Amino acid sequence: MSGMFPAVTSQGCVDFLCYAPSLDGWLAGGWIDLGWDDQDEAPHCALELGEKTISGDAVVITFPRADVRKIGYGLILFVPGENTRAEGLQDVILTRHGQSFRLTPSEPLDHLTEADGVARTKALVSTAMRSSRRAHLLRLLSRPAFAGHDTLDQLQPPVFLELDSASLCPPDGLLLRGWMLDPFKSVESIRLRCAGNSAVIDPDHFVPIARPDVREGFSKQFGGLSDLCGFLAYAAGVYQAGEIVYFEVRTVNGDIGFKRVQQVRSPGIDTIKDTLGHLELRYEAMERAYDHVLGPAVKAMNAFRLQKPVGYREMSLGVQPEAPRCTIIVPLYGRIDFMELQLAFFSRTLGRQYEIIYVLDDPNLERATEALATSCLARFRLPFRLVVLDANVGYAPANNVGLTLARGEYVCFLNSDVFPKTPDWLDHMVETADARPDVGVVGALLVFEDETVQHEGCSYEILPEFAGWTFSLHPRKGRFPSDDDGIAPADAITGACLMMPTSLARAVGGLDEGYVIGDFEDVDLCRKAQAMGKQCVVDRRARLYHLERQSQGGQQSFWRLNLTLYNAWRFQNRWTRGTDPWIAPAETADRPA
Amino acid sequence: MPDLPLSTEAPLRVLIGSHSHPRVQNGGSEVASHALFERLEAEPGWSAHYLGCARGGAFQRAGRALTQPFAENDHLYTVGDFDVFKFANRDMAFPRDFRAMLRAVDPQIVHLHHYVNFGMETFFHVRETLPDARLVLTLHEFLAICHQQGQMVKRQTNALCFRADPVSCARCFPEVEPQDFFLRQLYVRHFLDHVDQVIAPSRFLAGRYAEWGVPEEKIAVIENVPRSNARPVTAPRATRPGRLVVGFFGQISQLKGIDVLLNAAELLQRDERTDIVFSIHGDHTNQPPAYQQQFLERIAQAGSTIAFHGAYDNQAVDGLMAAVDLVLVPSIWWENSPVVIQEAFRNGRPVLCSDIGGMAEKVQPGVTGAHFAVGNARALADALCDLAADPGEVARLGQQAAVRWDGQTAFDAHLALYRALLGGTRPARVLPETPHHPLPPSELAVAEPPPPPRAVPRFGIG
Repeated sequence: MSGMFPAVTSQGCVDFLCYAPSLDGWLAGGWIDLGWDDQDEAPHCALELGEKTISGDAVVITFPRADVRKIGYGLILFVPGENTRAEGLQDVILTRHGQSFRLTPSEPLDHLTEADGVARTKALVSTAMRSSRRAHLLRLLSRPAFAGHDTLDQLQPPVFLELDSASLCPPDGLLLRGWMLDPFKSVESIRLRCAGNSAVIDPDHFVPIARPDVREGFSKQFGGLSDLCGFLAYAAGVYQAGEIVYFEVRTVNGDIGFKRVQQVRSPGIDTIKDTLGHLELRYEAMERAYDHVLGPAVKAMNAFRLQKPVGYREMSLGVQPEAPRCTIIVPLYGRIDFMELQLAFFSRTLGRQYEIIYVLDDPNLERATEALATSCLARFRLPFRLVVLDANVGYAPANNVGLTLARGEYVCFLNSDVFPKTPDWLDHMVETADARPDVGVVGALLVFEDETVQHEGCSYEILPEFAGWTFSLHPRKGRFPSDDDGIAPADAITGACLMMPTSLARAVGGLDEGYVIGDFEDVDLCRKAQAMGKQCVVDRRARLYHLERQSQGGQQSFWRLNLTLYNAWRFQNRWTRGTDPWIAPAETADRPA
Repeated sequence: MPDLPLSTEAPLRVLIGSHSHPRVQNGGSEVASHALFERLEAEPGWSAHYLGCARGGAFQRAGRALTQPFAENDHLYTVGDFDVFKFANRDMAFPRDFRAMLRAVDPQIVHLHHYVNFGMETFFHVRETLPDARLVLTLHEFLAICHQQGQMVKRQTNALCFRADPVSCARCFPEVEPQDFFLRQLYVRHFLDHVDQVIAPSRFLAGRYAEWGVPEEKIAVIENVPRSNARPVTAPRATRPGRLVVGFFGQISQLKGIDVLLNAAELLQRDERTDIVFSIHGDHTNQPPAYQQQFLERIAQAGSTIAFHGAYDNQAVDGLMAAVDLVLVPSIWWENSPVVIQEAFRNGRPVLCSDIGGMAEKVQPGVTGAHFAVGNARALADALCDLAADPGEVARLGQQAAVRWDGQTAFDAHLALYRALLGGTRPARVLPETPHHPLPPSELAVAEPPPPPRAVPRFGIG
């Protein structure tokens, strides 16, 4: 590092070092060679901390120091810059007019807390000669520091900032939901701080949330308030476990108020649902909200949720087929009786050349599902495998566990609420895949209980009301199917019933687990197969019922819609915006013989 | 094709099943199924086994689903985990024990009365275990069609229901999704498809099931078999001249029309018609407490024109009917083929019934009784006044009812049907054209053979 600086001509030493969040910079104290010219012009400072270097113009003040009076002066320096967890100060290099001074750390070097560092610096600065630098540093040092209690309510004019939740977005991000009122426009800046980390919270990047309750509560006191005073905000690189998190609000008058974040919620699917249940975004606001706040926050939470592969146990019920042609993979959640219904209907219709794997993604129902599975075997005498996951992980990871265990040449991802209408549905699909090496994905004609179309292949459409993003839609949904019972190409196939060569499914990495709870994974899978040069087709000879439930509404549908939008955002980044493109594996998957 | 041991050397083996057992509960369908069993047992050239069901453990042996507490050819299944919504029997012990019993008994005909307690899967067990056996199902009420206790009346209002579909059913049961009603229907039909022959005791019931999706050619209309073809020795009329004694025999419940009866009795009292009196026989103790209390209060207020006698043993019904002039069936649901109508006819008593469904079909106005507008107390009161004014007509109707009662035809029809099925033929289609009229025995003829059993039958809906 020192190679980039002029040759070192002199030296000194650093005795203590501290990062002062309230000053947004570093304080250091020590001594410097008599060659240092104490003048107002700021030197450039490079603070070499492990692999990280903090550099900038420093405030340097010297003062008489008895123990080094023959070789130098006492020294205080302040350099603005971010905190870094890099440990071990290597050198401090001060450069001015082509002349460099290397200050080496003493052994041992004192790492001080903010409070101790500010107090020690203050005491030493007060012994220095009066100068504008000294006055500036003393002003900085007298800034209030967070002392553990809230002072925001003391600001005049008043500023209100309240949090409903702060959720961890691992490793160090925070998703904040709350409301803020700044009736006199007196806020200059807001920072979120934790253990020396800090992030600027810019109200211009807030995802607004309507809070008519807040506006009504304050409308007698203040004029000009808006319902949209609620917010969602995302702060990256702030959180450190076990440390206090607090807001620092600075006003245009130079006042500072602090507000502590009382509790940080751990990430999980419920945290994601809770966060997304309060938003109603439309049109252009959507992309900004997902790019800056919701996208990175949900991505971090979901990655944390799935960081460890989920554990599972397997029950083999009956004698499994030797070399199955196709493995049907059905994730189960909540309605385990759907397994009973499917197996009942399969019992007369499904050939023994097929393997069935149920993946229970609902650990609370383990005992009940095991009992029902045993009863199903006794009643329907159709062999199947039951895989019980240790945790609820969602659609894609649950299916991927099934994909890992599948022994069939093909896999058919099947929803639990899909029930055969024609007995030979899978025979047709396998036949189509066998006959068409260009086909990578085969779908079926799915109908509602009133015999109208639920799915006969997906097509893409750009929806202006949803940020102009591309969505896959089901043409002809709700109408009677055409008479055509042939095989037709499609842009994509629904994951409710999607068959493909097992080797291809594995080659493309299965269903992408970055999508949360069953949206877009199927279309993404089709895009991956297409990127590998394969086609998607619907075999209309294969007909099944796919039920659509009516009871989901209210708050639940808000989070579901917003989660769909998160998944849509991820899909756009990968396939249409190209900000996070999918890279096809080098080797093309082998088709089954 | 199945064996056809039509020679006298080897008797034809029939297994009769019932969702209950007369030793456990004495309802109409279990009595009918057991009567069929007893008569088959006694019939030369036939051998019969019976399988009844019980809830609760009085006859259970640990670890076994089936026991034989009554006789060697009389089996009892103690019901386990049963899903009453779609009639799925989740009891793991049943398939094992039932299949073992089937293999041991090796019946050529398996004839189930009802699917409740056995579960729809039972048909699959029979088909898999005995591929050549013929499977017969006798229907009682509309349980497969209607979740409201199979009554086809609206749950909230008791209004008559004419057609079941998932959306309408979910209006009766808002806690259930229409899609679940659709799946219920799919499940039931999936297994019903295994049945070779469906028997409906009334044309009306047959029509409803045909509309719902049971193939018409599979349904035969045959009346339930009575215990014997013997007639009781009943006095032509035991009560005093100048009085009309109206008998009610059955459950004391709203759907059985007890409120219509009480309302009509009130109207008659208001008109000071003390010559028309009601004799009510039936159990009220299994009704909701509020309903019981209300019923008893109304009885107490009614005075001398209503006598309530409480529950009765079915064995004693002949004696009780001897003390009435006519039998009233005022049900506000459709009914199928109420046993009480056959009992009334057997005792030479005419029947006055609501003008709907299976009961109206069984009673010919002016021949074996009369109808009145369902649920209409004024119409009932008027009909009773007309009958009270003409004791001769009441006697004539009773005599005609007695003449028309026949304890042998239904049994013979069953035997003919079994033989036809084993001979590879199916009885002629017997579906309603005029739904109120009973089926003349001659209609049960042998027609073209059904297709042979399929190893993997098509999974068809309707």
